Amino acid sequence: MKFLVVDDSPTMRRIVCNALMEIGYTDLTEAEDGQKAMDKLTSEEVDFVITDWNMPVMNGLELTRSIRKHETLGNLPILMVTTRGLKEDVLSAMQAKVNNYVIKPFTPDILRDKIDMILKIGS
Amino acid sequence: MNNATDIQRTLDRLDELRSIFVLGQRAVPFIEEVVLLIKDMSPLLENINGSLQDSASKLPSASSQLESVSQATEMATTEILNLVDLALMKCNELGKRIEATGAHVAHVRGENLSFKKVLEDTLGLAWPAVAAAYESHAGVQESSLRAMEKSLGTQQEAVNVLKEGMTQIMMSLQVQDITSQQIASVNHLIHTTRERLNKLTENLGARSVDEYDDVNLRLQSGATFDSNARYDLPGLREVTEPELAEFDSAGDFATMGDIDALFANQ
Repeated sequence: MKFLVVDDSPTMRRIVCNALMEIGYTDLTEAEDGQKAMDKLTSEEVDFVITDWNMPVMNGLELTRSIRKHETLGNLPILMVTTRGLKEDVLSAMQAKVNNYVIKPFTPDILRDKIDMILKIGS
Repeated sequence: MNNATDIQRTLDRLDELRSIFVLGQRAVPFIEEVVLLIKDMSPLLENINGSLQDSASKLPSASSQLESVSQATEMATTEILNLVDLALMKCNELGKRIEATGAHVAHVRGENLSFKKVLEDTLGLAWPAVAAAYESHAGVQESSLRAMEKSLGTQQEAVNVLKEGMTQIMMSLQVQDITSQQIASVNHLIHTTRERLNKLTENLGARSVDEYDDVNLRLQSGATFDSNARYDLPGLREVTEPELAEFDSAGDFATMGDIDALFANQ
């Protein structure tokens, strides 16, 4: 399963990728904003997107909406991992149709649980 | 008759004019006081204006320093991550060696049993004569193998603790992202405050604060941040019974329990 990790912070991308490797996912690719993520998604085969919210150019919420509108990528699982912890933020993300939501800081276990939950519902 | 009326009107006008003069006379001291007050206030206003310009001119430097803090923590975080990666790699190597040594111990034990079987089969009736010596030798060897296995177990345990610690350090480094967003938020506030001070000093007739700048604000264009970003221990926001009825109450932080319950109902 190939993961696309989208975050403008190189540190966070590295932390998320390390956490994914820790829980057994090794096929990973990265993008630093929503626009670059869309470019990757249309040129590479990706099975799962993990995205931050606050990013320049195209933020995570806009990326989610773009993916959902896309004719072939529409059903891609999306997990939002963000510092935005207000209830209205979570609702906005849900309305944009992310599959699940994690508030930073997270642990590899939390990440695994969320991924499992999404994949279980998807299957 | 007309003349008398006209005269009366003129006299009325003169009365009105006199009243205005009287009022003017009374108002003059007040106006003088106001003028004096404005004269007194003028240096005060200049002081205020000077203070505003001084404060506004310091803001770019404050912003720049905050930006430096953010960059420094990013660099330090990268260095720590490099070391953590290296330590994790070494832990994994060590783990594999321990596993390989464990497999070797098991292999030696298996070989010993095979060798015993070969001796029994080869020696036949003569086996009981050497059995005691063999068992004594095998006992010593088995004892060594067990000590080795115990040591390997302890080493594996230490490696696991180290790996867990390294993973925890790595996860704690998320604090860098969270604090840099808070810093970006403060920088945004500084930027806004500076713009308002600039407008205020312009309204007071002074030059724009920008004209005094020798340091440009280094607020990145398109910088994104979450002003509510905060660092809690992972999973600390867990609740046992999420109250979804109150979920949309603005300004409240969501717990992991809230989120799980919300997305489970999707």
